[in-house]
Amino acid sequence: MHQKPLYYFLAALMSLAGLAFAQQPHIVSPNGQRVDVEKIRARPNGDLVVTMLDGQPREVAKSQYLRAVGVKPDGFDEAVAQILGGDYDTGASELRGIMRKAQFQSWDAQAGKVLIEAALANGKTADATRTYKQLTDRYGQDLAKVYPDMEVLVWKINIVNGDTDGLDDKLTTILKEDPSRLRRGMAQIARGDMKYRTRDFQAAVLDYLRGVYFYPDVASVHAEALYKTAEAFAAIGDTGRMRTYQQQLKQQYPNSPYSMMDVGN
Amino acid sequence: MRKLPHFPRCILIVGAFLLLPLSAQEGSANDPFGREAAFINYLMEQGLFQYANMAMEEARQNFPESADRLEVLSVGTLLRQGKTEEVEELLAQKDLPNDPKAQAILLQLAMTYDALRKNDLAMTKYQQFLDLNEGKEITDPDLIRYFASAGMRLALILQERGDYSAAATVLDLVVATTEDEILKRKFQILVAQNRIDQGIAEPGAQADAFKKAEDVLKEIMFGANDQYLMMAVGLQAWIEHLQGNTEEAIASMAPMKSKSIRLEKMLQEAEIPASEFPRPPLRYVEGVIQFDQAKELHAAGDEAGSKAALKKSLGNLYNTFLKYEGNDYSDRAALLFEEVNDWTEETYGKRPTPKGGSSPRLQGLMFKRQLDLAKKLLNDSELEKAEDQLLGALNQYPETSFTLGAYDTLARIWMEEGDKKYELLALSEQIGERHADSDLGAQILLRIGRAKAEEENLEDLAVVLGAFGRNFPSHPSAPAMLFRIGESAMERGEAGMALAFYDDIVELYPQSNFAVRVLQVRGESALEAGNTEAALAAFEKVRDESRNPLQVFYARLRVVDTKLQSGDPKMEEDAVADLRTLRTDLEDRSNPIYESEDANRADEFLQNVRFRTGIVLLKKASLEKTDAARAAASSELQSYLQDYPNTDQSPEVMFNLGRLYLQQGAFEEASRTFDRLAQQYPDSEAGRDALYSLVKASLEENQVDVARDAVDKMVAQPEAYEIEKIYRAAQLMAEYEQWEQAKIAYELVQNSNRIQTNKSMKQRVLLGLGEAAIGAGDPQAAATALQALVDEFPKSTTVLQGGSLLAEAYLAINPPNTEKAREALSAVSRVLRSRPDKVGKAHLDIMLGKVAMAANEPGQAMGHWYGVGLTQADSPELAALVREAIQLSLDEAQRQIKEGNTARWNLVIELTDQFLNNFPLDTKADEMRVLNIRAISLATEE
Repeated sequence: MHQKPLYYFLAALMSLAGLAFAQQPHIVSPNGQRVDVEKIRARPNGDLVVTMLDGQPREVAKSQYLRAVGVKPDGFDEAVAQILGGDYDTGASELRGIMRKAQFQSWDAQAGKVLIEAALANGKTADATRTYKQLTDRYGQDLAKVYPDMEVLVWKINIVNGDTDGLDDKLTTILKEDPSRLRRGMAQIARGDMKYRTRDFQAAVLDYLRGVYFYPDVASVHAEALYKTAEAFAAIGDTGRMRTYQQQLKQQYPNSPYSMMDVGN
Repeated sequence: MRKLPHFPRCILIVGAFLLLPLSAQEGSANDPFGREAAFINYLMEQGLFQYANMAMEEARQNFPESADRLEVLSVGTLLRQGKTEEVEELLAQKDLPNDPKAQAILLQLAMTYDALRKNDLAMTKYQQFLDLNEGKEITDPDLIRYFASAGMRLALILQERGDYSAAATVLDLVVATTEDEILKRKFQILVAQNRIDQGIAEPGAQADAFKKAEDVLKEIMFGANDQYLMMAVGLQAWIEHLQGNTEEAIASMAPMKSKSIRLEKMLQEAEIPASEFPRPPLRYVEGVIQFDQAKELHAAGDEAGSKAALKKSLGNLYNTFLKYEGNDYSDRAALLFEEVNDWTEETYGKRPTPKGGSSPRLQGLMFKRQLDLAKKLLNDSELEKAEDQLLGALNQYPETSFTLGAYDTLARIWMEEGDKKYELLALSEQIGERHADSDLGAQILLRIGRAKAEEENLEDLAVVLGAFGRNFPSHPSAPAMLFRIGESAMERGEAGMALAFYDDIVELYPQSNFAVRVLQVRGESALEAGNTEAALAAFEKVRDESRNPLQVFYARLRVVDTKLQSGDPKMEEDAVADLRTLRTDLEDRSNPIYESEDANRADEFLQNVRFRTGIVLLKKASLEKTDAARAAASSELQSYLQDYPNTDQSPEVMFNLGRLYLQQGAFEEASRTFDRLAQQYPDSEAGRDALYSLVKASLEENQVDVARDAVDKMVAQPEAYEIEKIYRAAQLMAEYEQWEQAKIAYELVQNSNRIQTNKSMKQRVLLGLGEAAIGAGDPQAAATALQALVDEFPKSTTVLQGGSLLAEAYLAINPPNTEKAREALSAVSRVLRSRPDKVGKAHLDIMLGKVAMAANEPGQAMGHWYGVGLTQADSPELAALVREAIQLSLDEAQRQIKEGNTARWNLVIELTDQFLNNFPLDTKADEMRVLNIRAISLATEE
């Protein structure tokens, strides 16, 4: 179910990651202020020893920063390329190393995200679950706060594992009450995914169509909703409508990874 | 004239607001039901009715307090499916005057009638709504929502009818129910324009109309300094001009020019559509005034002044229509532009620009004017005039953006005229080719298709839906349509045509469920025709490509069946292995199919597979005759009976167990099993009587001696058995071509007392005896029995078969008695006359051909067979006869060709064509194709 797009997402994720992290190491304080530094080293408990731009070392307790962004680890891009090239085992092994080496420096979370996506794409749900647990052990409650998009991955893991007790209620609450349109849109699609997973394709189509109708202005949600609507119609065997939504996707989002995807295979 | 201040930037924001559709995305955040309602409406607009129903069901659960609003919404679903009667019934039970939700339903109904072009009904409903709300304020949110669309549409209809006064009432109501100030100003412009049009069209009402227009315009001009204010200035100038104050009119518009240009630029930058621009009405009104001035100057003899005014008028009008597509005044300008040209040509003998100009848009507008006229004629049921108008317009402007709309109207005219069958078919094909994948094109074709389906004109339906299915790939119904007409062609016996439509599905919609269903049908047809190679290819494809797990299981089973019928021992061996794997997979309860709604069917399927496994193992045991094979079969059959003791198939399984004992030579055990079968399943076919089952099982096990012994035992002691049992044994022996035993048993029955009182049985016995005697090589005995049948029951349907057999018997006697044979067939013909029956007639003709051959009249024989060969094979029985007749004709034709009659090649072409059309998947199809090609190359010209 929806295996291939994850690879494309990896590509998209990486391009974003490249933009975001090809820059000076820095820490973000709890009030949102960014402080550029020369170098960051992390202790296992999350406390940091940073070298300031003037060369002076300074200890920063875990409670004193919201997020730390270190230098992009060597081998990160290669590992991603290996995974995209189909060599999951080699790439995943490298990323696990990065998770260890770059702990508390954001790259561990980035590597974790890629690992989870890739594991799900390869049907290795246990790997995905284990990686997610590693990150929650490390960041605790702060994980979702620091990396909000991690929440969607958790939903995906739970859905693939069939571990959806309470998820429907949670998603419904988000849909009713959450102020963020992005989060509501993601919840809408996740609700469709839940139904798709249980092969209730028609109910899934309805949720995906809500994604199409209610979130035309949230491009990431809208493109995914169009793709998944087409995909669910294909699963039902309604190729006419599959084509309609696929065409809409290609016209509106010609550069989206989803537009490059085959539907119905 | 009021001085206008500088235009602030905020006007742009206001203008931009108009662009936003009243969508549910953010607009109804405080009204969750309204939000969901908008989504459901979206689903209905997309034709996703099934999903709209699902969403409505969810809404019913999530918004229990909004049942009345839900009802308004659900009416939309009904109406979009054309179920107006149900909605009328619903409305009849409502308190319309006091129920705003019911009024919202009434408006929806009116709009539906409007869309269905039932204008009178639509107007009645609109009027009913207006009467109900006369002097009242409309406040209900659902009512306002529908009235915004309905009111504008109603006003337009009324204007088209020239009823400006009524249109004004509606527009006033629209303005009154519009809360948004900007929209209200926009609607006020429409109100003023309607009054101006009224003043021009109704000279008697002019003063009052202009007064009312001016009142509205004043209100606009006292409002914001926006584009509507400028438009109001233009309309006010028009009124001044019409009232004879032309100079003042021109003067009032002059200051607007530079300001409107500036504003227009800003609006353009903000991507506001041209419909909101102020320049078009200003320039249009200038054009109108200049045209009137030109006419006045001409009347006063000032040709130069007149021509100069004409030039200015043409310039204003041309630029208005050219630059502002989508603006109402652009269309008005285009039409007036043509009028000015016509007048100039008429007055000064030379046309400033060619008719219709070189602009496709102008041509389109001119065409649309004629199209609107044709529509009006159609609404007034002036069909012929409407048709002439439309065909003339299409001839003059063959390709404009309105052409498809014209085809739509033309199709409606031709459908109402009722005698334009070929025109409609040609139109359908043209739409398919030239307007492929367009929404309106699809609607037109589906409408024509529906009419053809209602007429049950399946051939025309095939043409229309074929054009649809092939040319509208994005339409959700396309593969379904092709499949349906394929099925319908198949039902009519046009297998070749069906195959062509099925091929289209596989080619155009390879991923659709219908493609898989086509493959399934192909597989079944091929298997029926004995073409196991083609059947296997089709079923394997279904197995590999279907997304429906149950269908995959079924395809796997058909693969097994096909392999078993292949006659190839290796494949048969594979089939047994496949069947085992299939069973293992089905017995795996973790298979997702057991969590789906198909779980029960999967269970039934498993039972079926186990039943089939038993049969296969039994056959295997019959062939191999080894203890191991028999033990495997026995174990399978017993375990089935243990797990499924009371299914429809259980008696047959027990019967097969008896057969297995017979195979093993365990007669006692077999007899006991058949006794048990009779006791346990007395109502089943197999359980009806044990001895009969023993005979049947013996025959099926090819243990003919055992069967013969059993029957001999019966006929030797007939008094020990009921005569019906002997009769059934005779039938069974005949079925297994044990003609001697059959003949003896039938003779016993014939001589019994029972038969004297049962005429129906007597006929069947005489028929059976005749058939058995022919089989046993005793044509004389056959002739005696069958002649008795024909003589004693001349009107019975048994004579259809009996007469043919009798003819066969007379031909088999040495020397053949063709005279008597013909008499026998005359008896058949008499029965057929009173009970026409295609199969009986075909059979008779084949026999007549055979008699003719026996009488050495090959020409006559071919005539009979040829007729049958060209019959449409719409049932399996008829198909077999058609196939036989074609084969007989071809054999004779080829014999004659060998003797030098090369003209017969033409007949060979015709017959092979017919064979290929009827039996495209037959095992002989390839041979026929080769013969067909050969015949085409060798045939002489007729």
